[in-house]
Amino acid sequence: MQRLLIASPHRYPDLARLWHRFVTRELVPAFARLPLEVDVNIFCDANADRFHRNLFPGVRFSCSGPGMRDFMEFYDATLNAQCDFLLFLDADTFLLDGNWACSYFEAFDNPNVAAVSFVPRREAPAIFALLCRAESFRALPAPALACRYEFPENSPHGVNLQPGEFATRELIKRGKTIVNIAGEESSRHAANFRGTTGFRSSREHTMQAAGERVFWQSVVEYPAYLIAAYDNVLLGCLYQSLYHEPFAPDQGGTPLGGSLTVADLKQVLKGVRDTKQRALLRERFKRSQQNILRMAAQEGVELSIPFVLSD
Amino acid sequence: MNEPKFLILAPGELYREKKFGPNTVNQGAALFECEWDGGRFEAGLFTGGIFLSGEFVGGIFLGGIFWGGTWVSGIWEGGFDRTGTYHSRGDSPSAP
Repeated sequence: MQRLLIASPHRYPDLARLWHRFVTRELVPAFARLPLEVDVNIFCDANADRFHRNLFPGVRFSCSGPGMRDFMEFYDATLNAQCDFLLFLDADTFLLDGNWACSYFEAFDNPNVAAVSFVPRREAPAIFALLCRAESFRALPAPALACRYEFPENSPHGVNLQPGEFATRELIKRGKTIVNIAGEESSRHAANFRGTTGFRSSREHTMQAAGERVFWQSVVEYPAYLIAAYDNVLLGCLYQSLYHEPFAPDQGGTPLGGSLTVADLKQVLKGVRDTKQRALLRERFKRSQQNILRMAAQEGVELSIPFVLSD
Repeated sequence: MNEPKFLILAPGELYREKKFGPNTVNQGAALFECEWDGGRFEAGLFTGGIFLSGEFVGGIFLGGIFWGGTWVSGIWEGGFDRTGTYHSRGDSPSAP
């Protein structure tokens, strides 16, 4: 039987629990029915000692080490795992309908198809949820999946290829096909809370290197952080309703203290005066709310979502 | 004779898209998408910019391009060398 490996790098065990919950309920059984032999692999990109193995039944863990020092090396190292197909699924990406995802597996009947991208980035294939034919990617020069910066001499106007983009380009050059699910269809079957892990780790790095004041200044100056912080609030609502534990706590255990607490987020949002920016944030928050409510509905729980941004 | 004037960047300061020359010493500021050309980076955060020359002796380097200069010590969280190749966490830009 052909083998599928579902693989993901994680820094935070709480988000990993949510990810694992949806993967094992939606994806593993659906792909197993195809039939495929399905394995799940979580790479602990940080905080390895906080990933309690008993909370993740059926998962094989990998930890940072030689040849796999961070998530970037994890992608390429995983290409050599024993499998025929690989589903890279980001820590903050949830495929909510296993049957929908599986329906695209028949695309691989065409030997030219190298991958199916379930969640696009600006309507182009992306690694967020990428189902790969392993041998197609193994044929590329290593590292195939790591990011790279082309024309660095033109910085900051060089080309910053995100993970997987180089591989996509090389595969297409070789006549391969990447099936790219458009954003509209993808959004009906997937929920993406992009940047939530990045924001938490950015808080850690900024606090460590430059202190609290700089962190707060960066939050105020960078709207994407506000979206990520709000998405963490939503993930926290779901997590807390399922596990009755704080999500993204700080060292003292304050819920969302490792991201932005609800009170802090409200305070920062009060300072956003630009009407257009407030409208954009409101629109983006609404989309995330719809996503978390769909996930809650699948779980059969009701969420009480705090109000953070006034009209 | 005039002594060269040094620009000291201090903890708690944040700079975005600025250029710093050879007489700069960073003692703990955060630099977002900045250009560092000379000077001594002793502490703080360098993220998303280009390190053209100078010494990196402490602080965190995250996601920028290390084009030139000397990597002495510090925390390499990830970034690119002058060929655009990504170096993973714990690596350094001078690694083969």
